[in-house]
Amino acid sequence: MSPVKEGQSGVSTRSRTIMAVLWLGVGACNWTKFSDDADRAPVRSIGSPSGFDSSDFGKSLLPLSGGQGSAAAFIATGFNGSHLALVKVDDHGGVTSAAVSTTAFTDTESSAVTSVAEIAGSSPTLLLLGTPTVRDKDFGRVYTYQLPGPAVAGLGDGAVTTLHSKLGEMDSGLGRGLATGFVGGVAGTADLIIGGDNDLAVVVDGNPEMTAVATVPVPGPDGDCEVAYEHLQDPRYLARRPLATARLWADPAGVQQILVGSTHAGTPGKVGIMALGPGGTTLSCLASITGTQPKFGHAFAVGDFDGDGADDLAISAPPKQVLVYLGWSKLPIGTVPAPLAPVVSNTGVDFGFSITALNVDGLPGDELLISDPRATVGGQANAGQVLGFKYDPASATMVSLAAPLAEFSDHAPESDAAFGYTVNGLNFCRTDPASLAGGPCPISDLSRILLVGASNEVFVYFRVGSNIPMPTGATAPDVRTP
Amino acid sequence: MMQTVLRRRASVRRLGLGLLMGVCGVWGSSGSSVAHAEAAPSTDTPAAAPVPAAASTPAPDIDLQGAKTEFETAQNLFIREQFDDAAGHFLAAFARKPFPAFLFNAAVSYEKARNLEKAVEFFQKYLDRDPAASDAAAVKVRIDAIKTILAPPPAIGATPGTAPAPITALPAIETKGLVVIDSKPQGATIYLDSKTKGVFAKTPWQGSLESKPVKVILEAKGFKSDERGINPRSDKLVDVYIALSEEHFLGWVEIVSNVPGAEVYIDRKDIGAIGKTPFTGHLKPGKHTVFLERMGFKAVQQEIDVAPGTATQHMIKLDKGDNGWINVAGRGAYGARVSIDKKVVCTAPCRTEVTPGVHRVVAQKAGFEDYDAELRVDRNAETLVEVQWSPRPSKRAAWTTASLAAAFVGGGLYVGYLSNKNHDAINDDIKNNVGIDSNDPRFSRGKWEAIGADVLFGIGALLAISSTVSFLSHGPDSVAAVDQRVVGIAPGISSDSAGVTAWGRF
Repeated sequence: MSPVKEGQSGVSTRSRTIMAVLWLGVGACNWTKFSDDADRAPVRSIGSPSGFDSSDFGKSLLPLSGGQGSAAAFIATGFNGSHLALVKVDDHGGVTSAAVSTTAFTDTESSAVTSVAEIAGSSPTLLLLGTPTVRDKDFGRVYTYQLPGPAVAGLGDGAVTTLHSKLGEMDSGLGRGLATGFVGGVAGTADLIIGGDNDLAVVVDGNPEMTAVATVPVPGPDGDCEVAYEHLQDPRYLARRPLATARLWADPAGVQQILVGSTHAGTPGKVGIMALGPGGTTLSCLASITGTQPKFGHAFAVGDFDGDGADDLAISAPPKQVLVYLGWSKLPIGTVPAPLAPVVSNTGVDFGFSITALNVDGLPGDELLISDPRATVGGQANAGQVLGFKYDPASATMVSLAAPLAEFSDHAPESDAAFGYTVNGLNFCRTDPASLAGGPCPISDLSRILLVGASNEVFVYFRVGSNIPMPTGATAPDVRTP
Repeated sequence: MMQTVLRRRASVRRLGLGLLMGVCGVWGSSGSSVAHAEAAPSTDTPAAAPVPAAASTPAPDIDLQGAKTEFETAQNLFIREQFDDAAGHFLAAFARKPFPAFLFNAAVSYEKARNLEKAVEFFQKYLDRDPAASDAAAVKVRIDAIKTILAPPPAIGATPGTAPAPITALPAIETKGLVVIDSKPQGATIYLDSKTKGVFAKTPWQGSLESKPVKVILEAKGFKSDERGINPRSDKLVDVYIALSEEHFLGWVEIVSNVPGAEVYIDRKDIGAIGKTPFTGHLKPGKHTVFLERMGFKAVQQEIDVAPGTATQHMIKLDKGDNGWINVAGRGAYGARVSIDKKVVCTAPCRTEVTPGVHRVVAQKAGFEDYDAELRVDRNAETLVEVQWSPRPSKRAAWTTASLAAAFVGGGLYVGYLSNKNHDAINDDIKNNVGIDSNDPRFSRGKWEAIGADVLFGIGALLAISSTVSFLSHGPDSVAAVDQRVVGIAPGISSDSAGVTAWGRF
C-alpha cells in the first residue's frame, strides 16, 4: 500500500522553474505558492488517507509515543467500519498517511474499531484494538496489531491478532474501553485494561492467562467502583468506555491506578479508581467519585495543572462542566482531593466531550483543554471548538487562557465539522529520525503539540500562540524545522 | 549642337489700329495690328465717314481712293447701261491705279457699248498688262471673236455698209471685282482660309477672287500673324491692308533635334511636354531650360537664352540611351505606388527609367496584396509589368481575436489580482499568529484563482498569437505578367525621304 504524501507541494523545483519560465512572458500567477503557504500554515489539516472512510476520520485518535520513523505519529480508527490509519508527521510538517486495507481485518468482520490503545513500551509498537459490536451484535473482540516499524513507509497488512482473554469473545461490548499501563505484574511490562459493558479485566503483563476480572461492583472505602457500563445512553457516549491509567497517589509499589468512568443516562456518573489486587487476579477499589452530572467521568485528563511536578486529574461531565482535582500525591492512597470550582460553560452544547492536559503557554504546568464539538462557531452549528484553561494559584481556580490560547477552532468553521471531537497531546520529536535508530527521542527535542480531531479531519498545531514549550524550558515559535 | 540666330530689328514700334470698311473705309481696332479693307459701294454695307486715323496711322492712299471713286462711278454707269461713260471712268480709275482689272472692265464696257474696236484695244491692253492673268486665254479667244465680227465678209456682192454681225454672238461677259491686299511690312506671306493650303501670295497683291467669303491670313517673321475675313464680289473693289505688329516682347525659338519626335519640355516637366521636335514657338525673354526626351535616347537638358524680338534656332543632339525602362501598367494598376529598389518612384500607370540589371519592383495598392518581384531589365528594353492584383484578406477576424485576447488577459489580470489578494491575506494571518490551518479555503481558492488566471493568460496568449498571425497573414501574392520590349530608334535616310526608323522585339 503506497503512502500518501500530504503537506508538501508535489511540484519539484525544476518543474516550478519550467512553469515560471513558461508563464513569465504573460505575467502568470504561480499557484504553487499557495502550497508553500499551506506548508507554512501554523496548523496542518489532515484528511483521511485512501481506503479510510473519510466521514469519521478524526473521531478516534491515538497519539503514539514514538514517531514511527518520523517526528510524530498517531493512529486513527473509524467508527463506520474496520478502519485504521497511521499518520506520520515529519519535522518540516509534512504528512504521510496510510490505511490498513479492509481485507486485512478479517477477524474484525468489518466491525468498527472504536477503541485503541498503545501497549506501553512495546517495540515494534503494538496496538490494542477493540470492536465492541462485532456483526452489529452485542459481543465484541479485542485484538493486537503490530505496526510495521519505522523502516516501513506504509502500514502493513495481516498483523491483526485476536486477543483471547478470559473474558471470552462473546462478552457484551468487549473492547468498548481499552487502556494500557503498568498496574502490576512484572515491572516494566505493560498491562492491558479491557472494559466490556458488564465487566472489567486486566490482562497482567499482556498474558491472557493472567487476567484479573471484575464482573460486579467492587466495594470501596467510600463506595463501590462500578465495572458495568450503562447501555441506555446517547450513542455518542457508547462508542468508547472511558478507561485510563495514572499514578495519582504515590504507591510504594510504583504502580499506576486504573481510572474507570461510568456515565449514566440519568443518574450521576461515577469514576472508580481501582488497583490490581494482591496476586494479580482481582481488582480492588481505591476510591469512588460520584459526580453531579450523568456524564461525569466521560473523559479524563491527567497532567500537572498546578506545576508541582505531580499528576493532577481532570474529569469531564459534559455538556456543562469539568472538575479538576489537584494534590493527589500529597494525600494518602484512597483519599480524593476536593475538586476545584467546576470549569463551567454556560453556553456549551457538549462542553467536556474531550479533554486533555497540555502545556501550550510555555509556562510551568499544563493547561486544560476542553472541547465542545457541538459548539456553534462563526454562526456554524456544530462547528466545534476547544477552550483553554489554566490553574490560577491566586484564586485556586481554573481560569480561561488569554487569546489566542483561549479558544481553538477551525479558522474557516463549517457546520457539523465537530472540531474537538477528540483532543490530545502529540509527541513531536525534532531529532532526525535516522540518528535515532529506533531509539527514544531525546528529551531536549521532544515537544507535545496539540492534536485535535474533527468529524472527518485532523488538525495538528505546530504553532500555538507564539511559544511552544520545550522540555528543557526553552520555547520555540514553531516546532517544525524551518 | 548648332544654333542659328536670325535677328531683325523692327523699325516700327507701334501702328495705329483701324479697319476701313466699304468704299469710305472704316478704321477699327484689331489687336495690335492695324488693318483696313476698302471696297466698292454695296447694298448691304452702308457708307460711313472715315474714322480719323491715329497720329501714327499712315496717310490714306489718295490715288487708291480716287481709283475706288472712279470704279464706283463706272460700276453705277455700267449698271445703268451707260457703257461708254462707264468705260471712261474705268480708264480714269486705271489712270489713278494701274490695276489691269480696270482695263478689262473698260474693254467689257466698250463691248457692251458695241464699240468693238475699243473693246479689242483694251482687252489687248489688259493682256499686255497682265499676260499671266488666269483668264488670259479666254480673253484672247474673245479678242479673236470680236475681230471676226469686225472683219468684212469675204463673199462677192456683199452690200457695203451692211451691219456687222450681232454682238450677241459673243459669250456673256461681266466686269471684274477687285481685291487689293497689302501689309506693313510688305512681303508678308498670304494664306487663304488655312495655312495648310499653302502660300497664296505675298503682299502687296491685287487681283480677283471668287465671289465667296474667304479668310486672309498674313504672316511675317518677327511679326505676329493676323487674319481678316472678306467677301469679294464682281462689282466691288475690296482693299485689305494689315499692319502687322512686331513680336518685339517675345522671342521666337525653334528647337530641333537629330531625332524628330522627341518630347519638348520647357522649364518644367511636371506639366507635361509642350510639343515635339521640331518645335517652334514664342518664349518669354530670359533663360529657359529645355528638356528633350525620347524613348531609347538619353534625356537632354539645355539652358537657352531668349532675347526679346529675336528668332533663334537650337539644335539639340540626342544620344542613344544606355538604360532600360520598367513600365507598370495594366488593368487596375491605376493609383498603385511603385517602388524600385526600395525607393518610391511613381504612381501607376507609369514608366521609370532604370539602369540595366536586376531591380526589385514593388507595387502597392490599398486593399490588395503587394506585388514584389525582382525583374531583369536589359539595355534599351522596356519591361512591362501588368499586375494581377490579389485582394488582401479582411482583418476583421484578427481584430475580433485581438479583442478576445485582451478580454482574456484582462480577466486573467483581475483573477490574478484576487489570487494575490488571498495570498497577502494568508501571509498576514500567518505573520500575526492567526491559527489558520492548511485546509483554509483561501489556499484552494487562491490556488484555483491563480490557475484560472494562468488559464486566462494562456488562452489570451494563444488568442494573441492567433491574432498576430491573422494580422500578419495575407492572401496569395499579387502576380504580374511581365513582358520585355526591346525598342530602338535611329535616324533613317533614303533617296526620297528622311526620318526616324524604329524597331522593336516583343
